[in-house]
Amino acid sequence: MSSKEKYLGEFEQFLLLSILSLGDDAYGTTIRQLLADKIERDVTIGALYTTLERLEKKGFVESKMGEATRERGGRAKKYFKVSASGEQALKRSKQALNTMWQDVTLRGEHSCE
Amino acid sequence: MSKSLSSQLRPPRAISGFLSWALPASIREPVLGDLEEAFGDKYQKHGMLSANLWYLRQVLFSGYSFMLQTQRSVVMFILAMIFFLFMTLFAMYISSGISLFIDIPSFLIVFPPALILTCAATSYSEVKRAFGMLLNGNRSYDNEHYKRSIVVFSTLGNTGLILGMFMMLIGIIAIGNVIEDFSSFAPALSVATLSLLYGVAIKLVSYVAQQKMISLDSGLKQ
Repeated sequence: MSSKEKYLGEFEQFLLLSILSLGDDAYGTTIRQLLADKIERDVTIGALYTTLERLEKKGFVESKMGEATRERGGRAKKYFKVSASGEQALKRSKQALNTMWQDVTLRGEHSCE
Repeated sequence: MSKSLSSQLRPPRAISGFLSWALPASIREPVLGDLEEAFGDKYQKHGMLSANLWYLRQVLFSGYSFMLQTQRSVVMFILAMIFFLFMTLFAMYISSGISLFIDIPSFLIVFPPALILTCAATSYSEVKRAFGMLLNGNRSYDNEHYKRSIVVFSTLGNTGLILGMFMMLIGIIAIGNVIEDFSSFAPALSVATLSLLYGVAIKLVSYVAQQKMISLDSGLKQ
């Protein structure tokens, strides 16, 4: 596995964490809403699905089509779930970040993990 | 929710049509559904103007990036046609003025008959599908569809060219009747020649469309 595939990008991590946080209710609208509420990041639906498709191709997320509702114009939802390899990738990226943050002290901070 | 309010909560059809055209088939339904759901929510919270502006922004940004992935060949074809039109108009402008090359009767005796005769030689549904294939690179078609479209554009181009010649001959015969009156001969010949010009224009555009279909067909075989 190349280092590019080994570690996740920032937005990829945000998406995987959003899906984990939403559980069974993770689909496009709820993921966008969570990102806007928690980190004030207003992403376009195109950017969201492009990244989700990339994660799916890498095998980090799985998807299934759900029910169609009236407020969606009769169109079905696409639910996402983080796979086991997706969780592994998240862990690797978190550990890598923690390692890099060790012994780093920013101005105005006394210490960092 | 009343029926009228429900229909008000729908995003503008023309804008969502553009996104639907640009999106890959695999995510078309969930993306349009997500946007429609969020549009309804924004409409109720912030009003129609805010919801429409938000929707337009989402469609333009997302549609543009997906369009370059899914409709690249179509965009190239449209740009090439715009370039061809621009260069033609420029050539007309620097020669004698654009208005000299516009003649509604000559247009009407070449373009509609060419389309009708093509429908007669193939079928209306085949002509409709051929133009659809030209403007939508997102759908999957089989070799038989491409072959039929090649026949449609070949027929359209040849019919347009032959019609242009045919109508020009009629014009020349009519001119022969007034050949002694030189003051009306020159403009009459000019108008008769326009039929041939329109016929050649149909042949040129159809030829490019036909070659595009051949290219897509051979791409499918490989």
